[in-house]
Formats: sequence, C-alpha cells, structure tokens
Amino acid sequence: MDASIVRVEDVTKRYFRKSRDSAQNFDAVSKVSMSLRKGELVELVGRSGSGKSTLLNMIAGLVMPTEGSVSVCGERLQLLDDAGLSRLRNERIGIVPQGQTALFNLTVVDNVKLPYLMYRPDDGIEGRALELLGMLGIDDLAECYPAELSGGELRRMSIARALACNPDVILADEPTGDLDDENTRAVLGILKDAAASGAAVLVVTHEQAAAEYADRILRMDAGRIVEEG
Amino acid sequence: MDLRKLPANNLKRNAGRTVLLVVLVALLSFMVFGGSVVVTSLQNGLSSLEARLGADIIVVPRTAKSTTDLESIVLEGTPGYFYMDDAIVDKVAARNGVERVSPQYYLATVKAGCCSMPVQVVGIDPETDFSIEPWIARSYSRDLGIHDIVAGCNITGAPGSKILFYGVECTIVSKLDETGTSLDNAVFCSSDTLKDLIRGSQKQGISVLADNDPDSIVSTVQVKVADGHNVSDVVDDINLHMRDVWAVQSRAMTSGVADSIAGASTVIGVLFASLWVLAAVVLVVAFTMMGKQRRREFAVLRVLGASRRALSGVVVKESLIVSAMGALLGVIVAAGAVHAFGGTIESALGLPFLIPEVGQLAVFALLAFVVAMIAGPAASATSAMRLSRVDIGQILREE
Repeated sequence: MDASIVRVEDVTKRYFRKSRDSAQNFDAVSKVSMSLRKGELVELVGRSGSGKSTLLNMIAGLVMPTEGSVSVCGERLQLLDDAGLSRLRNERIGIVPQGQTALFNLTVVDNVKLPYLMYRPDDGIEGRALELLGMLGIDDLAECYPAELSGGELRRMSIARALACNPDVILADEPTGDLDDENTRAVLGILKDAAASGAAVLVVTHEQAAAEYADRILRMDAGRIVEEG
Repeated sequence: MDLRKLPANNLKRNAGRTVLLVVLVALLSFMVFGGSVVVTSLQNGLSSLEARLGADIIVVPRTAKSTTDLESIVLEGTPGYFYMDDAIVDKVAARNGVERVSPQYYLATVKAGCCSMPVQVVGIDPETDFSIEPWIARSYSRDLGIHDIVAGCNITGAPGSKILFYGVECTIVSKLDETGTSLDNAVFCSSDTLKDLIRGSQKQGISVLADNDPDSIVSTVQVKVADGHNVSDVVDDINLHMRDVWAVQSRAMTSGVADSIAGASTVIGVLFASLWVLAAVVLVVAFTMMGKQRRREFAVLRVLGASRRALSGVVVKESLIVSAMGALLGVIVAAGAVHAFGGTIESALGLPFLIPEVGQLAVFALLAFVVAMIAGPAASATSAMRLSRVDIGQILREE
C-alpha cells in the first residue's frame, strides 16, 4: 500500500510574464511529480527562481496548478471548493510561509492559537501553544506582540503556529532563514521530531545543515526536479 | 482568540485607524441625516406657511408696497406695521367677485415685560376672520376675549400667565405649535385688544399713530374670492379702482418665499448630496486602501485556513462595528447641530424652518444609519474578496 500522504502528479504552473520587449508564458514549475510519505522529512533545494516556493504553495493549495494534480491526505485539491480547501489546509497542513507572517494585532501566544481555534473549540490549546513556544525557546515572549520580537523570534513563532494543529503535512519555506546556527539546528530538530511523530515534512531551504536532517533531498532547477537523493 | 473575536481586537489594537474610520463614517451619516433634516425643515416651513393662508387676496396700504419686509410682516409675523383707513374694508367688500373680507391689525412692541425681543401683535376681527382663527383653533377653540392673547411657541409664559404690552396686562390663553417662522415670536388677539394696546402706546408716547383714533384704522384686508371669479381679475379690479391700496394674491406673495425655499433646498440639497457622495467615495477609498494595506495580513489568515467567506466575515464585522459607531456619532452630532443651530440656519437663510416630527427624524436617522452601514462593509467585503483571490504566494513573497 502506498504510504504517500502528498502526491504531486505531472504538475505545471504557468504564468504569463511581460518583459520590455515581449510577453510570453513561462513555467515556474514544469511537469513535476513527487510524493511525500508519512514520517519523512524531505529537503527541497535549488537556486532562487527554480520553482521551489511555487511547488510548495501548490501542495498547500495556495496556488492551483495549470496542469496536473495535487492530492493531500487523499483529497485532490483541484476538486475541493474554497471552504473545503481552507479547512483541509487548517486541519491537515501546517505551513511556515516565506518571510514575516505574524499577525501584529495578536500576542505571540494568540498567533499560535489562532489556527487551532478557527475550526475547533478552545480545549486546552493554550497549554499546547506554550509548550510549542517553549520547545522553540520563546515561551517567555508569549504575551509580547510581534512588533517586539526579532526576525528570528518571529520565525520561531511562525513554526510553532504551523505545528499547533498537529498537522499531517508540514510545509516550511525557508524556516531557518533568520536564525543563527544554534536555533537553526533547534528548528530542524523540531521538524525532524514532527516527522518522527508521523508527519510528512517538506522543507525548502538553502541551509547546508538541513541535509543531515533530511531523509531525501530534491533538487529543482528551471521548474523541474533534476535530482533526487 | 478566534476569528469571531479578531475584528474587535484588530480595531482596538489599531485605535488611530479605527478613530479615523469612525470619523469618516460619522461625516457620511452627518451629511445624510443633516442634509435630509435641513431640506425637509425648509419644505415643512413652506407647507406650514401655506397652510395658514386662508385668504385669496391680501390688501395693504399702497405705501406699504415699498416696505422691504412686507411679505415677512404679512406672512411670517416679522415685527412691523402699516395702517390705512378702515373705510377701505367696506370698499373692498363691495368690489365685484369679493365673497368675504376681514381686517387685520399689526402692532410691533419695542420690548414687552415677557420678552427680550420685539414682538409682533396681530389683531383679528373675531366676527369676520377666516384666515387666522382656523389656524389658532387648533390650539384654542374658544372665542378670544378682551385682553386674551394666543402666543407663539417662543413667547415666554405658560397659558394662564400674564403679559404686559404698553401698560396693558394681557392673559395668555393658549400657545401655538411651532411654525418655524417669526410667527413663533408673535402674539394674536382680537382687534379690540389690539386697539387697547395702540391706545396704551399712545399714552406712553411711542405710537406711530400719534393722536389718530385706533378705531378707524386697519393694517390689511384679507379677501376671500367668490366661487366662479378669477382671483387675478379681482386683484386687478381692486388695484385699478382703489388708488390708495395695493392688492396682491396670497399665492403670489408666498411664491417668492416658495421660490426662495425651492432655491435654498436645491442648493442645500446639491451641497449635501455632493458632500455625501464625496464622503461616501472617501469612505469606500479608505476601506479599500485599508484592505490593500492589510493584504499580507489577509494572506496569512488564508494560509492558516481561513476561507474567503470567513475572511470577508472578519473584515465586514470590523467595518460594521466601525460603521455603527460612526453612524451613531454622525446622527447624534447632526441632530444636536440641527437642534442647536436651527434658529441660526433660519436666520441665515431668512426662510421658514420647521424641524420634522420625531417619527420623520427617526426615519432620516435610520436612512443615515443604513447608508453608513452599507457603504463601508460593502467596500471592505469587496476588497477582501478581491484580495483573497490574488496569488497568496506572491503576496507573501512581497516584503
């Protein structure tokens, strides 16, 4: 039986791009097929513009493929309506987006609790949120507002938020971008632990250190997976 | 903290932005409510004025024709006076087409014991009057006795209290409803009472009549035209054959006021409508721009699992809270302004101004509330829905 929890089949994402001299279609991701299994941490590497983030966003259901199909937890994303897709994203997928993604009107702990409370009652999520913040070393900042945090602290808060709903799939786009070596290893360790707990984890990174945590490494170039190891 | 509590939290955490939006919405509802009330008050003033015109023709001394305030003295009770020989009454009554006539008498007091302002005293002949009494009868249905007066709503003193004019003590027997004109500052009495007041003024040496007999003068003659006769023909007949008087159609007299009101209503209506549209546009732009500024925040909520509908719900709820606060503030401020400055507006415009009844005010308030509650939330919801369709990955890559 196939243990894949994420299946990407022959996926292409085509954009229409205008340059000064011409206008043309270009494929950010071109005919990519891949899968993620429960319990594995897969590292997605490649140069900037190689299509890593677009692929990750398609798996998250944030961007719809032009061709091909993406299935997560047995649900083909293109067949879901917005409400169904949003619910699947909340309940089954934990996303650590690229860049700064804190909600500045909420405290750190409320940022972590929010995705859980979108579709569930408040049944002790506070304790889980504080536990996650503790694992990431920022539990003392729980009642602070994001504006008071450094870039690295915000990144760790974002990771805690992605883990708050115990997702089956974790998609992390440059999760260690703002972190020092010590915190990078801490974050990768947490993601590895999540994988060990049964989640499928896909990490887009340039971090060399990530290789030692990865079960597989996929390399992308010009929208295609060119190497798997 | 869940999505239901998020809107209130967002508004609280962005107090400056919230206050700005509340003020904008308040401005919009102020325009809608204030504009509606001012225009309607002017129209009510005209209706009130026309409702009191029982006479088809008003005959005044020819010398009064050049009086600047003739219309406002005759129609609105602005303090002023003019007199002519009372023989005119019978002469006018004898003209062809005249069915009924009734004299009226005017006297302006300088300062009465009750009032800090000049008061116009209007005397009517209870035996023949057909223009003032039907109107007064709404407040006071009995005959006006000697030294009885019916007071305009702004005259100090309750029914039963005494009031002194030129040394003559009069009794307020009733008070009239508000008219929105200077009649609110006037008093009405029988011709006998008024003649006593004129004698009082003569005794005090401040009468324009000097030693003339008050029994032999009138100020105007109110004329009712018989059925089957053309009013303007009767006017022409009087003006042609009676050289000392000037006859004018009542409607023609009010038409000047009506034109002024129509003109003022149009100008004020257009002004308020323009400001209303401007405020609505500013409001929509503000809510839309606010939505665009918050595109990253919305994108994050989508990433966390908020559906487009849920996201719109958050934004609409925020807008509804802001709009409700702003609409309430705008309506309260506008109501206060109209109440406080109604008199000033009336003076500034020089037109009758009668604030609508509470029920109509409530309708205007509701209208202002509904308009404000639709504009902001609709703009926000549209903005949120549009943003939620934008490539979220692209938004998140923007720093």
